[in-house]
Amino acid sequence: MWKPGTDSVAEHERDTVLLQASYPLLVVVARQYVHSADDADDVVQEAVSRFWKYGRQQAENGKAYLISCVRHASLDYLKDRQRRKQEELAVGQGLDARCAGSPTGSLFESSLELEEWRKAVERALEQIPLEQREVLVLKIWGECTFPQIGEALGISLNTAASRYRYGLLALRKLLGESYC
Amino acid sequence: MDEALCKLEERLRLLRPKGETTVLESALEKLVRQSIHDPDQLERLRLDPGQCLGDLGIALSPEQVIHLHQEVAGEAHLVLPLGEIHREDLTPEIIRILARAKTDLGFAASLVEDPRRTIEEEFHWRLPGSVQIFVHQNQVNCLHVVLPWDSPTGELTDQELDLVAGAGPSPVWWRRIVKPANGVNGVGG
Repeated sequence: MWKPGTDSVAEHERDTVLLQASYPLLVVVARQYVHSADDADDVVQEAVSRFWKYGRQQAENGKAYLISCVRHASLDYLKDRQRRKQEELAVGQGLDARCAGSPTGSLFESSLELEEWRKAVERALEQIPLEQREVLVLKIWGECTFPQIGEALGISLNTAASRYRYGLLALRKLLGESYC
Repeated sequence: MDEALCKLEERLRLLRPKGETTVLESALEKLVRQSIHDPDQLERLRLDPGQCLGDLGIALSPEQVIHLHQEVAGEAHLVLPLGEIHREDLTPEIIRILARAKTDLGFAASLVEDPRRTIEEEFHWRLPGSVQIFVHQNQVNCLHVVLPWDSPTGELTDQELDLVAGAGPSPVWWRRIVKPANGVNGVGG
């Protein structure tokens, strides 16, 4: 088990690079659970501190572990909000509702030629189930393999692949002809 | 997976997580900075920028391409970033141009199309006629990198000196000039 203080300087540098390079993706992952960009940023900060605190088991699984940290920090954030609202909502059932209100801030880079496409995709993503959405995000924008996704989300490889396919089909239905 | 889903995947990949381009632009900027005084690094960057990014732990997606522009005597290149403007290495004139392009898309388009006329008309600066100016705009999946020109003599050419005197828009050249002599930086606003 990796622990701060026991690794080499090279490993520490490698983890720092991994964090810097993955940060934009981690925010998108967090946004699958929390609406506001600011809240997502807070969640990622919390996940990063967990990453440093608890370390990770293997270097090659660093990305999956990092995503897993963000997911858990997001779920804790939701649980905390729900507790504060004194609602008895089981984690896993109410996740799709996320925080009340409209999402703030875009998930993706904005550029002139992709602006309409970005808006359409972000609207469509909002409408598909969380379990499909999180796999789509990791596979398409995180460029994770199905085994990595399985590890990050705690599901089997086959489940990850199946959720991915259903997610794509749902997106295709929602986006209609606009993706052609 | 059927063809339609593969096509959808491809189109979805055109979008990139917000902030990712800033990470890429910063990394490329770092590589260029390193290469200014390191010919080996410059050569590596010239041959395979994707590999250089990989060495920094940053992977390009298959949809992302990097266009390299080699500076030569008599040419100046400026890249309009998609992400944040890294101010530390830039002159006030370059920052003004970039900041304006960031907020005014019409200006940015005009700058790419006809840099000299746009800069001279908008800022009332006079640019030396001997230097060709090119402006490139970074896009989500298309990034531009200007490779610094390493003068064979290690000294500035007359054209470069002209460019300095006229406040030419090359961040790389400007970085190479630590402190222009008093009055040399003759940009008028």
